[in-house]
Amino acid sequence: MLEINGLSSGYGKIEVLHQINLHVDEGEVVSVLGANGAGKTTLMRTIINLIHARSGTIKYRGKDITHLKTHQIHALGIGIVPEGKRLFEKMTVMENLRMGCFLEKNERVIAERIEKAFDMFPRLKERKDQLSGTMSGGEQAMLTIARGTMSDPDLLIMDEPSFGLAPVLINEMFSIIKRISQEGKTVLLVEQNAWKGLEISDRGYLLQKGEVILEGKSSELKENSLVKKAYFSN
Amino acid sequence: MNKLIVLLSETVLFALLILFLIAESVSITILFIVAGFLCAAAVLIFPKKAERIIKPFAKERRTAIIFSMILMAILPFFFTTQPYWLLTLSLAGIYIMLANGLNMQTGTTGLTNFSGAAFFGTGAYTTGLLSVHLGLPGWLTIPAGMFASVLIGAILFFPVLKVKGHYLALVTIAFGLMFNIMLNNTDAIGGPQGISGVKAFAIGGFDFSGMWAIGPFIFSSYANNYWLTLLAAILALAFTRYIYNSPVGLILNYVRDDEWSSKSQGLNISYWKLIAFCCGNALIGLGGALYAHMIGYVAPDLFSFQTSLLLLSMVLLGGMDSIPGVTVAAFVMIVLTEKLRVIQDYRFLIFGLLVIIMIIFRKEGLIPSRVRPYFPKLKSVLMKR
Amino acid sequence: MDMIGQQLMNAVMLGTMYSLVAIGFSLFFGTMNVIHFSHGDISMLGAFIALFFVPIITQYSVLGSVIMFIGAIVIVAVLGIFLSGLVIQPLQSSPQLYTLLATLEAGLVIREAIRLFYPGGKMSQKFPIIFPSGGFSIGGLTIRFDQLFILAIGVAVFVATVLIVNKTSLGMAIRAYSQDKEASMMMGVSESKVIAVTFALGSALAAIAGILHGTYYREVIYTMGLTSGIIGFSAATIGGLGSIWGAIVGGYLFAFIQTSVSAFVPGGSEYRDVIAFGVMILFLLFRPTGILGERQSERV
Repeated sequence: MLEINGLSSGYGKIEVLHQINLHVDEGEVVSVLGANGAGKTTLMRTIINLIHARSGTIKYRGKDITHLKTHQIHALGIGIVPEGKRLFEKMTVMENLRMGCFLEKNERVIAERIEKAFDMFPRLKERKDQLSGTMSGGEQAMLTIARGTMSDPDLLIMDEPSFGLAPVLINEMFSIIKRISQEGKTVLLVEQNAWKGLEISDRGYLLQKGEVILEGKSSELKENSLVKKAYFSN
Repeated sequence: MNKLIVLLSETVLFALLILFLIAESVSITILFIVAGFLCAAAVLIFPKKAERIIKPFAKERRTAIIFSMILMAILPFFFTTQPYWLLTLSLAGIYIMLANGLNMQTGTTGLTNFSGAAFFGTGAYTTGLLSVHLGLPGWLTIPAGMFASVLIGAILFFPVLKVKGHYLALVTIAFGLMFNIMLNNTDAIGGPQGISGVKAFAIGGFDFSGMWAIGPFIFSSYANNYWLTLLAAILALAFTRYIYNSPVGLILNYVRDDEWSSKSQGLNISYWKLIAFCCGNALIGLGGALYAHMIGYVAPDLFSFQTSLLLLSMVLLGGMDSIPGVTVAAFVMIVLTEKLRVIQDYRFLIFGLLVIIMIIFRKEGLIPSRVRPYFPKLKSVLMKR
Repeated sequence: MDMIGQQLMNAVMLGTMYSLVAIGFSLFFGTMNVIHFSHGDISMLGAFIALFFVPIITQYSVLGSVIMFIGAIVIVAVLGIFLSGLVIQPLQSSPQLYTLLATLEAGLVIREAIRLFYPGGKMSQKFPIIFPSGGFSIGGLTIRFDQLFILAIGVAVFVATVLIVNKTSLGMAIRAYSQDKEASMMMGVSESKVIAVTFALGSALAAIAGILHGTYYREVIYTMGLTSGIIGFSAATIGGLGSIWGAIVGGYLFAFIQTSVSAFVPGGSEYRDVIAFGVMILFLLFRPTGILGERQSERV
């Protein structure tokens, strides 16, 4: 479904990602693991072309999307849950959700999707007219995910959805991601919390200093000593 | 060897300048301009080769400066029959002071000042009023003009310290407009007609409007004023260069590039901003004072937003924070418009387009300010921010 | 009473025109964080382009006036988009000063182009009468029909603008983009489209202001854009940059300050701009976020 070949990118004179190869198949949950500064977020941002690739290609369903604009990539059916929430803080919960399916013009479809999102996050329904900037961190995280699914994407790219959440909420978050994948969506998940990430994913990649140093089935990765090492030393 | 190259090339440039000014036919003027343009383009395209010509100047800086001053000083000898061009050169000298004063504020310290013309006007009007109504001598009116500019600038101190970026631009533009409205509507200072009959500069019984001669060479008021302006311009440039190369210049750059960081280094930002603002205004006031004495007439039209923008264009085209760049830009822009009377009416349009093109394609200006030699890496790091 | 009523009416007229220009400043600042200093000259351009339609008005009167309005607005909107592509978007990542200078110089170029190339552009140009003449009086206060038209058009445009920004999907895209550029792009908002729409909308409002100015004073001159631009920016600043309502409030407030100076200060009519600008500077010093603004004047 998503195929990345020899991808390099970076900021200014500094190259952060070197020759990344990665693929995500239909229906999979794939996690990208790595310590702080390993290049995970850079990878996500390069996929959606917020950072331009220096070399290599990114293909989605066989189509080259390397040089498409961010909004065009989204329009192909890729949902994005960005790092650090990035909500529209001066908009209400409802408006944020509507922004999530900005390209959908059919009011009935939109209503259905909002209903579905409220079903998944009942808490958001209670707060639907509140400005998103005034909600708690946990509620904001939920809204970010709900917003990402509003366009009914085939592939959902999530960048550290659990970041900064209380442990109780982290568990809830992962069960929701599981639920999303059970509904037939493909998920590319960037996680710092390696054990949790591997628990719900089928396969995983380990990033270190901008390179993929390990890939494989999640169950195998869990046992791998390199994963431990990558996480506990830098 | 280096010395010889410097002397020779300066003599050639000097001869070309005289020829350019004396030439009467438009086609020759245009030929000169095209040639000059091609030279500038060549320098921009082959910076390495240009460096080889510039190098002797850098090595023999003292010789280069002294010799060029001598050449400029003897220039009136070649214009005894066409003294008009001396007026043009004097005007260029005045604009060099104005543009460098503005550069000290906007280029070096990052204080966006869109009311340069207001301070220019303050200097000119103060000098004019004192000369006409009180009959004060030039050695008093000129410092008074400078002082008045600094004083009027005090009205803007508060905004300059508190307000930044777009808002500072807004305040200074509004101030310039306010100033112009006041000039036009205050009858005590002549209203739209301004003040006429400002006396020429005089010192020690010598009146600058008088004629005198050395042998066959007869010098008119144009030549006298030219020498006066030349002296003032040299002093002004020496002053700006001295400030720029002293630790003060470095501090001003630092304040411009990173206010928070310089504050955390213990610098009193307000103090340094005021220093830069006052010094700049003093230079602009000096230009205004000399202008009043030289032309003998001041009117609100000249001290409009248009002129403020023209001054900023000089700073930008020459290169922000680059004293040689700003000087060359001011000189070329004034001499060209005087020389090409045909384009006089189109000059604002042409300069406006030039500045836009410059901003889009070459932000650093014609002669970019050089990286300061003390800490080679400092500027490149700061520039990235 | 009579005099005060007339002055009040005059202030409302001025305020309407100022607000229309101020909204553009607020829109551009809110979405792209830039100040478009040639905006006032865009407004002046609107009035001069409207002049090209004069032959149509003389032929078709009412329909002609409508064509003039729409034609000038559309042309100016397109020019606004073009200008943003020329002097604003290429400079998005450079220091503020360059955008400032580039837009100021662009304004200068527009002004000079009109002065030099519009036939007789150095002088003020007669503007056609497009609203019915005459009027009526209530209790000694005479209200002219053209004043009513100007007010009605102004209010209709305010309402339309607020509705576009708050109720349509384009408006939602603009708001989302202004709050978080990247996140809005991730949701399928096209950056170039948002910028184009913002500049088209802002420039169209400026053009309307220019035309209304022409109809009210019956003449236009190439320098009118400089002052109206600075006044528009001042009004937007007083009201709070980034807020549309703020721009409207600021526009009227600025007009009321001006007219009260010329009405109540002896010999004040020459100095009304001086005092109004002075008030704006004080505002900037003591309440930099304006009356309705929530945005910090400096974002760290």
